[in-house]
Parts: sequence; C-alpha cells; structure tokens
Amino acid sequence: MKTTIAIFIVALVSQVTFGQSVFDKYENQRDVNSLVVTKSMFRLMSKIDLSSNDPEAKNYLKMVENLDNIRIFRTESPTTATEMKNTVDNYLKSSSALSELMRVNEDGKNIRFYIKEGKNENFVSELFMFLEDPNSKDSKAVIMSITGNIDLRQISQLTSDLNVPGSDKLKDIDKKKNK
Amino acid sequence: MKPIIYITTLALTTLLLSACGNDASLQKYIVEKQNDNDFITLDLPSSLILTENNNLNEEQLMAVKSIKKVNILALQLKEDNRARYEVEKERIKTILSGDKYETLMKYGSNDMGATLLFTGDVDAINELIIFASDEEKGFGLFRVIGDKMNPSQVVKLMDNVNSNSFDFSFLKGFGAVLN
Repeated sequence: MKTTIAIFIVALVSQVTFGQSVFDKYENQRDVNSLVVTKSMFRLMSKIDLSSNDPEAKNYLKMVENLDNIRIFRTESPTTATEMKNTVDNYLKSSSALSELMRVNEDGKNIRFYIKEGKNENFVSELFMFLEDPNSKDSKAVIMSITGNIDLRQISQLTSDLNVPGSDKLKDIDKKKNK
Repeated sequence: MKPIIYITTLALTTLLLSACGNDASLQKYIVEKQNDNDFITLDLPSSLILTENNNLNEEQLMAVKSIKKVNILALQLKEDNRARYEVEKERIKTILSGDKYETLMKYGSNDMGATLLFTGDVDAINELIIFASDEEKGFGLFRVIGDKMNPSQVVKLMDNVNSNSFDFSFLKGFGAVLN
C-alpha cells in the first residue's frame, strides 16, 4: 500500500513538472537556439496602455493578448535537425486535431504549416510550423508553435517582428485558408 | 488507513516546506553573496536611481514610489572558477524554478541563455528578474523589487525619462539574436 501511494505521488509530481510539451527538451539543449514567450508576457504587454491612438498598434495588442505561448526552436546541427523532424512527426501523429494548412518548397527549403481549428474561420487555436533547410548554414531546422486564440489575419505581423525564418510565407495565410 | 493519512500528511508537509523554503531563498542567496568577494553585487534603493523631480505628475510619482530597489549580482567566469560557476548557476536556476516565479520569456542559444521572470500579478508586479548567462563570460542577475508595480505606469515613467515613445522593438531585438 505504501509503495503504491509513494509511486502515485511521484507520478503526480513528475507529471506536473515534465508534462508540458514534447518540445520543452529543446529549451536547454546546447545546439538549439530557443525562444519561449509565455501567456503572462502577453497579458503583461496588453496591460501596457499605449496612449497612442494608432489603430494598428491597438489591433496588435489585441491579437497579442489572446496568445498563450510562442515557442521557437532553431538548430544548425544536422543531427539535431533529424531528431527534431522525428519529434515533429510524432507530435503531428499524436495530435490529430492538427491539419495541414500549406506546404512550401523552394530553394531546397521545405516549410510546412499546420493549424488547429479555433472559434471561427479567422481564428485558430494552434499554429505550427516546421522548416527544413539542409543547405542553410544556421537554420537546418526550425520549429515554431503558437497557441492561444490566434487571429490568422494578424499573426504574420508578430512572426515577422520575431524574424522567424519561413514566416514570410504567412503573409497571405488567411487568404489561403478561406479559398 | 492510518499509514495512508500519515504518508499524505508527510507528503503535503514536505511540499509546503519546500515551497516556503523557496520563497525566501533568492533574497537569502543575494544577501549571502554580498559578502563574497568572487561576486559583484549592487544594491540600489530606488531613491538613488529615480530622483523625485518636480516634472513628474501624480501617476508617475506613484510609479516611482512602487519601485523599492534594484539588485544586481554577477559572477565573472575566470580560468579557475568554472566549477563554481556551474554550481552557482544551478543554484539560481533551482531557486527561479520555484512556483512563485512566473516565466515571461526565455531565450537560449549555444553559449548564452536569458530568462525574464516576475512575481505578483501582471498588473501588480512585486519582483521583476532577469537572469542571463554566457558560457564564456559568466552570469548576471538583475532584480527590481517593488510593491505592486503597474507595468503601464512604469512604462509611462520610462517614456518620460527617455522621451522616446515605447514600441515593441525590444521584441525585434530578441528576434534579431535568434537569427
């Protein structure tokens, strides 16, 4: 009985600490460049009351306020790039709600975008991108995952601010989706 | 039945104790290092940084008053202290992984890492912490302690200090490092 409970407690605790995302392991990996922005950051940014009346800035803040998490991982190591591809494939297999939005092949670059349906046709609850570029010096593979209530009409503005490789393809993403 | 209750109580007490232990330890850690010659420490009351001049309006004064002090702690990496650097870095990481601290942003690359964290609520921040490390130079911790700091007010205050309008270019900066 004691052991059962002990195991149960250990399982519970480890669940809390490690059960977040399959990509968390890349946060502290040496050959991976990572950037994680959390929900608190977006909420904090939205609290910053811009006195400007710029409607574009206001829209931007509104879009950002509804985001949960942004995770971007980039690697220059071919080994890690292969490993990332496996993790991504498993992730896509395990999450059936993700459907392919578009696929771009150019100059040896392979970019795939996936989305999870959101509250209406302009919104998605997850935007996922995987880029492979074996010829690139510093971006052999890039993973980007954005979760929250994402306005597809606005998100390209944020990803271009963050300089995510491949994200320029997002500029006409909502047009693609509504076709 | 008894052993179950005993174990549960024990587990809960341990959890509670470890939580309380974490609470005080960043402060304790900084105080401990103030007498350590290997560390560079700086403890600045906000009155030294932000002199209350007459140009401030009431809102800005409130922002000034909500900031209590600034702590800076750094360990420079030298030829003979790499082992110590690793130990101290881990200690800080463990402290900052406590429940009390919420991560806002996290960046990592081959030799560098930076984390932005806070305690309190997004519109009433008690502590804002930046922890950055570089495998060649060392690490640094920057901590602003306040009493319910309002991000909007603080930003407006900075606005006044710099007379530059605030935009999200700091995000662009983050992105630029990534590329």
